[in-house]
Amino acid sequence: MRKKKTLLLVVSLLLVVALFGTVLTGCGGNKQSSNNNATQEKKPILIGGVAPVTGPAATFGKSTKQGYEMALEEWNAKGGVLGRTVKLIFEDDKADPTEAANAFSKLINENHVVAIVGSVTSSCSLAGAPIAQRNKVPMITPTSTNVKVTEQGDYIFRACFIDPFQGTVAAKFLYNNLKARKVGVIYDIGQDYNAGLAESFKKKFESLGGQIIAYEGYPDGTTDFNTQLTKILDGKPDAIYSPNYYNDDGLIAKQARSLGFNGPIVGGDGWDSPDLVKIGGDAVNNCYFTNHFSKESKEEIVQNFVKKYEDKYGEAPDALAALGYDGMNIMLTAIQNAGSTDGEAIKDALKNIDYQGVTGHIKFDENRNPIKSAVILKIENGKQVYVTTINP
Amino acid sequence: MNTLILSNLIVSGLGTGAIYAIVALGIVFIFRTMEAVNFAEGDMGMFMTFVAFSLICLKIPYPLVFIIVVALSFLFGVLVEKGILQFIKGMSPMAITIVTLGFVMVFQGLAGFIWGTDTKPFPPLWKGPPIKAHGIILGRQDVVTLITAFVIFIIFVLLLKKTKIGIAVRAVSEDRYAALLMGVRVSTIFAFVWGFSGLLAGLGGMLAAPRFSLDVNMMTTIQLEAFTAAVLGGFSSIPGAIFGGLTLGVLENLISFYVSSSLKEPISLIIIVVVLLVSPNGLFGKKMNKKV
Repeated sequence: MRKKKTLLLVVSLLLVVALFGTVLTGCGGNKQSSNNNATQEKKPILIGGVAPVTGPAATFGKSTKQGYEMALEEWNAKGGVLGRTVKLIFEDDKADPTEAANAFSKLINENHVVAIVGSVTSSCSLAGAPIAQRNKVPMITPTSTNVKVTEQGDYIFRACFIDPFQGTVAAKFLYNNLKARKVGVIYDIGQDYNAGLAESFKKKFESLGGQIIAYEGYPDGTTDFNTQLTKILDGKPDAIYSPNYYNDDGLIAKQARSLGFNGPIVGGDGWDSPDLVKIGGDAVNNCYFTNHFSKESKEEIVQNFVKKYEDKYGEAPDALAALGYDGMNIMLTAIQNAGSTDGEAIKDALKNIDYQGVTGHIKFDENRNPIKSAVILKIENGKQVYVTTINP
Repeated sequence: MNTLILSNLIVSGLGTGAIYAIVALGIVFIFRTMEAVNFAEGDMGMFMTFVAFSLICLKIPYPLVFIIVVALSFLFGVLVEKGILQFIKGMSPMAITIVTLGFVMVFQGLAGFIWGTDTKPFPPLWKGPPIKAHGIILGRQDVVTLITAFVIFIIFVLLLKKTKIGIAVRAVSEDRYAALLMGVRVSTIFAFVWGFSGLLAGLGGMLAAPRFSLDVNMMTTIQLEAFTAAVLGGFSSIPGAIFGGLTLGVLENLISFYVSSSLKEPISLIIIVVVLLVSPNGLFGKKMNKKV
């Protein structure tokens, strides 16, 4: 009995200490912000970084974070931004919109960052963007392709192209490079990303003079694509357009091959995962997809980046690492150009930026989306091979 | 209506349906003897398919792995019965059914813990381009699945009709206590039934994995479809399970082609409800005489 009482006492004491602890650090945070400008000049510039390094998009988040860190290190090695070092305050949003909203609030209200780079998935960026906009903190998402993200306000930018663009690029590539005239489309009707790409592809391909012989949607979670593929193959297509996520695409390729289709299957950046080849095996040979970046591009800036990245992390950079790197670089360049850490000044500098990145040349249009090129990759014996670059 | 497309849809539907049929057979076999529904049938198969995956990684040739895993699946079924269910035998069939629901979580959790939750590649038993005859396209894996389902069905019927243990199984399903009084070792029979169901599950898993892909949730839909197929076939009938599985496979293909792929599952379910309204014991079910 006595032991129990002591235990209870210790636990409640701990609780009280913990409670006061948070209050105390909270006060500390406030004190920091009330410091005068003179002392702040010598302090590092704080940049918020958000990405999902755990959870369902963990590999995406890890690559992106490494991209952020590498860009930051390069700036600091050159003497920092505006003569001050830059420091990354990183938050993991676990690819969960609620966590993302919390992360954005914390970065802005507690850490007082001057700008935010993040997040990775569109749903998380959509959760964070209104918070950044409300607080007039400039934000750039490196990888969220959903159109709605930058529609949240004039402080929100992105480093990647938007969904409809990929469909257009794929249509041009199929019509001009692969000389396809009859194409069947298969896509997940339950995902905005897939349906968006399919729609823009169809529009562009038909306007080029091609024929869409079948336009087949399937519900989310389908694993048996036989009926959709039977319908498509009945029209004797030159190629199939499958702008879905890698799990589905691997199965679609496998099942299309087992129905006797040997032509090319083309997709979007949702294909960019090692799991595509794991699931699809031989079936994904003679398949192509549109992407943001290829490590095989001959451009010097890309080759330098790939080499540095491999030296630092011991692995080749993927598109997410490249976009994370570009996203951070764009933000820091804007701060440098603005000549101040004031949110509005940074926002105006971002609008007028002209930046050569590893994922292409970036300028923003009036909707704060970049006008940039896309690359086409081919899968050959399990490896991604660079085919060509297609300009907007 | 294009007859070529129609026949292709039927052929590929039979391929999927055969997987449903094999898993349904396992569910029905347990239900006949224990009156409990095994909701973990599919996931027993998933687990054994992961075992097969590990053996393939050890560079053992796949046909050999296939045979080893079929044998191991039998042992796995026996183990589940002897190791766990044996201790709750006094409980009602409903209690055992609930326990199998628990197994679903245990097997999925264990598989996720051991092999990870990402998707794994799994080879087909018969590789190569599809077989084409008069415009009808037949995937090789589908051929293997159909043949396996047919062979298993024959073995199953012979086993039940001709062998001593088969007759004992039938005796236990008729009346457990009478069989016990006649000198049948009921506990051995239960272990055998679970073993054979495990074997069917393992087969189903290994046949499904190359077509879909190997991951922790691979059998969730198949388990549901197999359950539906079993209901369609009368739930206690062996030919009914086979027929129900094949019918369901073809039906789903036709609905998703001619109506809509989103309506595939709802319409299949509606058809089953209608069948049950017209013939409450399913298409092959015998009238059940409830024991008092």
